[in-house]
Amino acid sequence: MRLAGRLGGAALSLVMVAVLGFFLFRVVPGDPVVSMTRGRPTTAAMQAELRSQFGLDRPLHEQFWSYVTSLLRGDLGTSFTFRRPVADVIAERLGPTLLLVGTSTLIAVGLGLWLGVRAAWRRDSAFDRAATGVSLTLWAVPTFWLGMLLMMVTGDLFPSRGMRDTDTAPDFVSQALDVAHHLVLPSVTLVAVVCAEYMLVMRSSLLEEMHAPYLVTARAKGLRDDLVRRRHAVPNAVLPAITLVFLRFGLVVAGAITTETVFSWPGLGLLFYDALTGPDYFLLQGLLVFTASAVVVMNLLADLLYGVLDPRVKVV
Amino acid sequence: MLELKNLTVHYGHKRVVDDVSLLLAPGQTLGLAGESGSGKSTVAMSVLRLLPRTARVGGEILLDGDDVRTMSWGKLRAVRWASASIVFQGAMHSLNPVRRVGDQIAEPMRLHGTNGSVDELLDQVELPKDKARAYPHELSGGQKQRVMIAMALACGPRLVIADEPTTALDVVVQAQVLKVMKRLVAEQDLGLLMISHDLSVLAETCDDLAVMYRGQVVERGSTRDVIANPRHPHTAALTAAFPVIGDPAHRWTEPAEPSAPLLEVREVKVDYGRTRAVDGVDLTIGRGEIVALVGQSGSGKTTLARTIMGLRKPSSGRVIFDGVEVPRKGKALKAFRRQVQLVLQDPASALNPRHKVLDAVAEGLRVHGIPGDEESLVTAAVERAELRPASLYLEALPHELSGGQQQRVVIAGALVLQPRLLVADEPVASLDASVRGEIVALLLRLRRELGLASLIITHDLGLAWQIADRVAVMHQGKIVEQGSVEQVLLNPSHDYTRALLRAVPQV
Repeated sequence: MRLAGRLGGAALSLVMVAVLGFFLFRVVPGDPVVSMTRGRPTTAAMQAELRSQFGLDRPLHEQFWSYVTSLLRGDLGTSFTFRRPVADVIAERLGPTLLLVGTSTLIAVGLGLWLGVRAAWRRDSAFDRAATGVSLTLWAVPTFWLGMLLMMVTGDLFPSRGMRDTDTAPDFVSQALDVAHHLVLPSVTLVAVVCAEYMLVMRSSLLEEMHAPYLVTARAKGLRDDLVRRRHAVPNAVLPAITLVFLRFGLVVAGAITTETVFSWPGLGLLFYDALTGPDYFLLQGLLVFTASAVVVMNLLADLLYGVLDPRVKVV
Repeated sequence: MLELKNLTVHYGHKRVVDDVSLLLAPGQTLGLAGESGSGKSTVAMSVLRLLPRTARVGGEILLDGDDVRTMSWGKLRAVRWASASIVFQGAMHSLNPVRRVGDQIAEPMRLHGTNGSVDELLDQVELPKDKARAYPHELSGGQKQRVMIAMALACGPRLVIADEPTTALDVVVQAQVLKVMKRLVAEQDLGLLMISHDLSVLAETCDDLAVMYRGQVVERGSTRDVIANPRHPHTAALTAAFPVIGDPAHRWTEPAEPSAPLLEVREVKVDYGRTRAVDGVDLTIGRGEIVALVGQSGSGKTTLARTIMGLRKPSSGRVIFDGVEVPRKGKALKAFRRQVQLVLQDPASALNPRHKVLDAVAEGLRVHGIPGDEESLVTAAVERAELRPASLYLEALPHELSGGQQQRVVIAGALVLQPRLLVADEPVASLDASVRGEIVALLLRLRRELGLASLIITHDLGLAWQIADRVAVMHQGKIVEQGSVEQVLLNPSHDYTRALLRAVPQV
């Protein structure tokens, strides 16, 4: 029953995302065709031609109907700038984004939770102060600025643009090494920024649990300090962090707009940037529907996982 | 087996335990009584060196001849649970909420390399084997407490320390848990150090009694002697605070004149999904009358109270207040709610920790948009609740007040709306013995001066004896017996009432 409720809720969210995606770009002031062709010499005939090509000359309900039916077929429309189906463009950019943001998120989650646990367990120690201070600073720093700073500091050590060099040997090992080399700077930037959030959430959550009576029970049983922490404190304290982690996983596919733009990483974040500067309405609409759906799905997964980790929550 | 010599514990400059010396031989049972803040739990925790780092401990704590205070960490870990174990208050969060209780019982056995089986331990505390797979939240309060006892016995310790093991359990369950503890202590010839604020609980289980007051042991002797002939005034206060049912000296209320009904509950049924929480209840409260609604947890008392207050719609039946059916919504419901106010058990959680007394009390005035000078109305209510002079308290935050003062603030918050009926859910259960009497007296005085009627919801039959005109006994959603206090508590006609009375620990 509960499971059906959760699935139903997620499905409803997806429908709302789709509807919102459609209307959001229909209520933008101004004629989309005019903004899309801004700065290019166009005649009224060409604009009318474009309008009918994108179906913008038809009544709203017809547009909506064809939007819904093509969405159900997995068709997100055609990108104006790329002159290709939006779904194909997104699929092409998904890989690099998953590689960059996925790797960084995993590292940031691991590192953040570990730092958070250590800092909380020795509250007000030098380690705690240093870790909290550094994390807060990095969190407060603008991402693009940190990225550019890293580029300057590391000099020529790591490539700072794109995902691979054109002159790399085509065999798998050289290609992989080249991509990994390119991956260093953007992922360090992302980890530095995102890690703080996990660390602070984990830290405060564990601090709340530190005075829990069941930890006294565990100590009284004769458990070593690290066992008290690992077996009793952390499994309880990690629960609030789970929701955050999964919400973040949902945003992974949205890419990291600033980081990808600064390092010209060919992922969805950069695509977002390009679509905005276009502006390419159909691409934006597709990106919005796609990334919002990912968040909804990840949120659902977080709910389900929570039920597994916390026996007090019965989801299934 | 356990010897405390001149134990003192300081937190900063505050002396929490002051020169306590106690001796406990194998097979001996010693009760340690005292109010919150008397230092009794600090003594218990110091035995296994479980006090926070900020505590400075002086004197000697000899456990089987070794000083716990100076032991190496390795030795200390070996001694913990194997030589002495603690039964914590299981109803609170002393069990890890995300681990199965079987694993938690088995954990110290694996750690100390003790043979034994979880099944056997569960059997000893009279729990079915399959409960080992349960998580704490799936167990009732009494079952959790049994798990705590099984866990404490896992490594076969010679000394068991029980820290308020039955607080927060209702009488019937408390009697069952105490029975299990008594049996195990006798069977296994354990030493027992039991800590409680409730003398009657200690009287049931312990041969000897020590009374703590402000960090010191003020009295020590055989339980019978101490309770019968208390030498220290604090012990006398503690024994006096627990009412003896049937003793006219503990019947504080003066008989009320029969009066017209203020509230009538007729054939009320309340369902939660498929469970019927309240099953056809009839209850009348007269003007200025104090009615006690007694029963175990889960009997439907609280649901009935919520229904009376208009917080929950009855599935069927009627609630009539002052001759008019209680409105279900809108302005009429709001006006009704003003006349019926609620006092909850734990004032510390009933008060918003960030609201000053003035705001806490004035909130009702603001919600109901009552005209007049807020501050003078609040001052009057606060003084009615006997916080005098009010000006000392209006700016205080809840944590700056004692438990009794907090409960008075809650009561003032109810009084400020000039209600005609007070619904009090365990109003004294979380208060210390000495404060408890003051709050009971306050409720009686309010009735005398304001004609305020009360519905007191409690599992404490002693409280009913002290304060109520009439008692209604609730069991499985039904009122099985109601009548005057003397009639119900002295000549009970229903088996369940008799069972409840039997479960009350006797001093």
